[in-house]
Amino acid sequence: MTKQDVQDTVVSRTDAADRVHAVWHRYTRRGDRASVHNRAYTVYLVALAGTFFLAPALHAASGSPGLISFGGPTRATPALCLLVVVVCWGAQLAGRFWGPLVLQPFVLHVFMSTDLPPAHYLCSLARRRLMYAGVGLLLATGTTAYLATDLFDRTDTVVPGGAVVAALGVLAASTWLWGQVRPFRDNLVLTGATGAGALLLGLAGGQGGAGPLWLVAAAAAATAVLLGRSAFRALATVDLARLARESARASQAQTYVLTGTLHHALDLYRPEPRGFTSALLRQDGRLRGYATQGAVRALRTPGRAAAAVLLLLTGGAVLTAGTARADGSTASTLWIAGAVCLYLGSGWIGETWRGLRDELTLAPLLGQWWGGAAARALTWPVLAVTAGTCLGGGLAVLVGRPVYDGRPAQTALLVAGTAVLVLGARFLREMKTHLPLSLLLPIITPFGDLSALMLVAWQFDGFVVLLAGVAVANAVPSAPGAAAVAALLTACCIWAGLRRTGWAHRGLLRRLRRS
Amino acid sequence: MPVVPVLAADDATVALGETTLLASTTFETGPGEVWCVTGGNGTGKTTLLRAFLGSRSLTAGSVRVRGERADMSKPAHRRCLASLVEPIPVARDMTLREQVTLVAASWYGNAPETTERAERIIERLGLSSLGERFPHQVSSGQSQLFSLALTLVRPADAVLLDEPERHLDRHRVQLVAGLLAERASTGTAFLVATHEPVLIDACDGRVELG
Repeated sequence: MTKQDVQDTVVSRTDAADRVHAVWHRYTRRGDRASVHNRAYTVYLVALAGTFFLAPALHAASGSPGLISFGGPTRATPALCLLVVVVCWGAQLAGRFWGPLVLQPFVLHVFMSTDLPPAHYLCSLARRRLMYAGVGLLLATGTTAYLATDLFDRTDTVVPGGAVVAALGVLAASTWLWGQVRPFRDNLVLTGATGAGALLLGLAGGQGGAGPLWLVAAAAAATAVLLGRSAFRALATVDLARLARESARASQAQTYVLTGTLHHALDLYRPEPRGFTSALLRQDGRLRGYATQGAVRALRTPGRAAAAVLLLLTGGAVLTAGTARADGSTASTLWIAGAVCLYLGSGWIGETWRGLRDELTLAPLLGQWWGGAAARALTWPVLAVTAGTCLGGGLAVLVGRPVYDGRPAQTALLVAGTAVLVLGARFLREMKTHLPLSLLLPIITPFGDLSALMLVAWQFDGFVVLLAGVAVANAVPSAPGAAAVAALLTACCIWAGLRRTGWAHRGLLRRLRRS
Repeated sequence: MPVVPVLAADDATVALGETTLLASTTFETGPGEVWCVTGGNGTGKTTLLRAFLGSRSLTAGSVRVRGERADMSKPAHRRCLASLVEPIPVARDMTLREQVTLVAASWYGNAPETTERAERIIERLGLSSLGERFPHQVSSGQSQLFSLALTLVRPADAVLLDEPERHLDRHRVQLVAGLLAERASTGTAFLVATHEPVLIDACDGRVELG
C-alpha cells in the first residue's frame, strides 16, 4: 500500500453527498434491476386497468347518486374528521411496523458502517417515499370519495372536501414517518391529540356551513407541516440499530410475501412475550388450568391482548346490533363488521393456535396421542371469544334496546352461529403451513387463468370463509337455518384445517377414534 | 508526545448475574499492531469485540478507541473502526464484485479509487474469478473471504475480526495472515479473536482469556 492509503485511513476526502449518490447509483443499477420492457409492461397493465375498469366506473359514478350521501357540509365534516383520524392512526401504526426508512439490509449496513450522518442518506429516501405515499393516498381517497359519496357532487362541498382530501394525503405521509422515527410515548401523545382534535372539529362541524370543512383542511395541513418538520429533524438521531432490525425483518417478510406465504410474513411481526415468567405454575409446582395458562400467555403480550379484548367487545356489540336489526343493508354491514372484528380478536388473544398447529404438524416427542392438545390450545380462545361476544352483545342490548324488534332468541342463535363460524375460520387459517404446489397450477376457465385468484383466496382463506359464510347465513330466511349453515361451514373448516396439518382421511379417523 | 493507543481496554468486565462473560481484561493496541484474543469457547472473545462496537455494555472498566470511550454513534468512531464480528447482511441479487465496489463507493464516492481498491482487495483475497457470482453461488470458505473483502475494502484505523479463519483452508489462512500484516504495515491496528496458530504466530501481542 502507498502513503496515500495511510492518509485516507484518517479522513475520507470525498464529499458526503457524492458518496451517498455513488452508493445509490450503483445499487439502483444492480443485476436484477427492472428493464425498460418490464416498466413498459407495468405501464401497459396499469393503462389497461384504468381504461377498462377505472374509467367506466368513474363515468358511471359521475351520473349516479353516491352510495353514501352527506347532503352537505354539516354531515360531511364529522365523517371527514373520522377519516382523518383513522388514516392518521393507521399511518402511525404502519410506521411502527414498516416505516418509510426501511431499507434493504445490505445497503443499510453499508451506510451504517460509514462516518456519514444518517440524515445524509435517509432524508432523500424519506422525501421520495413520503411523496409517493402521499400522492397514492390522495388519489385513492379522492377516487373513493368520488365513486362512493356525494362529496364532489355538491358545489358547497367540492372545494373544501377536495382540500381536506389533499391535506389528508400530506398528513398521512408525515405521520407515517413520525410513527417510525419518534418514540412510542410521542406516538401515544399524537394519537390522543389527533383524536381529541378531530372530535372537537367534528362537533364544531355540526354548526353548519363550509367553514368547518376548511378548518379541518387547514388543521390537517398545519399538523402535517409541524409533524413533517419534527420527524425530519429526528432523522439525525434515528436509532440505527433498531432500523437495522426492522429492515432485516421487513426483508425476510418481503421474501415470504413474494413466495406466497403471507402468514409466515405476518408471524414475523408478532410481539415478543415478556413478564409473567413463572405464572404458569401454582405454588406447589403443578401447572395451572388451561384457561389460566391461555390468559397468562396473553398477558405476556399486553398490547396485542388489549387490542384483542377491544376487538372482541366491539365485535360482539356490532354483531349483536347487526343480527338483531331487520333493515337490510345496514344490518348486513354491521353483521359482517362484527364478524371481522371477532375474527381478528380471536387471533390476537393468544398464541395457543400456533401451539396447536405445531403439535399437530410436528413429530410428537412423547408418543402419539390426541385430544389433549386441542383441549389445551382451544380452551382459552374459545372462552375469550365467547366471553367477548356475550359482554359486547350485552352492552349493545343495553345501549340499543329500542332497535330490537322482539326476537332475542333468533338474535342469540345468529350471534352464536357467527361466533362458531369465526372460530372455525380462525382454526382453518391457523393450521395453514406451506403453500400447496397445486395452487401454482393453471386453472383454465372461459374467463382466463384463475390460479392467481385461488392463490389470493388461499392467502386470506379465513376472511374468505367468514365473509362467504356470513353472506350465505344472511341469505337464509330463518335464524335456525342460518345457524345450521354456520355450524356446517365450521365443521368443514375444522375438517379442512385438520387435513392441512397433513393428516390423511384414514389416519385422521383413527386418531379421532383413539381420543 | 506519547502515542495514543488505537484500541485500549482497562479492566473491561462483563457479567450477567452470577455469570462472568468477560473477566477483567486490560491491554492496549497501538497503530500498526496486530493483537489476537485467544481462549476457549465462552471465555469472552466475542464479548470483548462487541464491547468495542458498543453492542455489549461493560459492567466494569472501560474500552477506548483513540483515547475516547467507544461509541459507534460518533461518526469519528465509525470511521475509525471496521469490523467482522456479526455476520454481514449481503444482497442476494448483487454479485460479489458489485457488493465490494458498493462498500468502496460509500467511502470514495465516484472517484477512480473506488474501483481500484475494490479490485485490489478482490484480487488479494483470490476472489477475482468469483467476482461475477452471486453470494449463494460460492462455498462457505469463499463466502468468508467475501466477508473479509467487504470489511477490508474500506479505510480504517482499527479492524476487529472474530475468527477470520472460519471455513478457510491452511493456504487461505496464510493468505489472510499475510494481508493483515501488509495492512498493519500501513498503520492499521488489528484485534483478532482466533483459535488459529498461524494467525496467533503472526500477531504482535496476545490477550489470553479464561
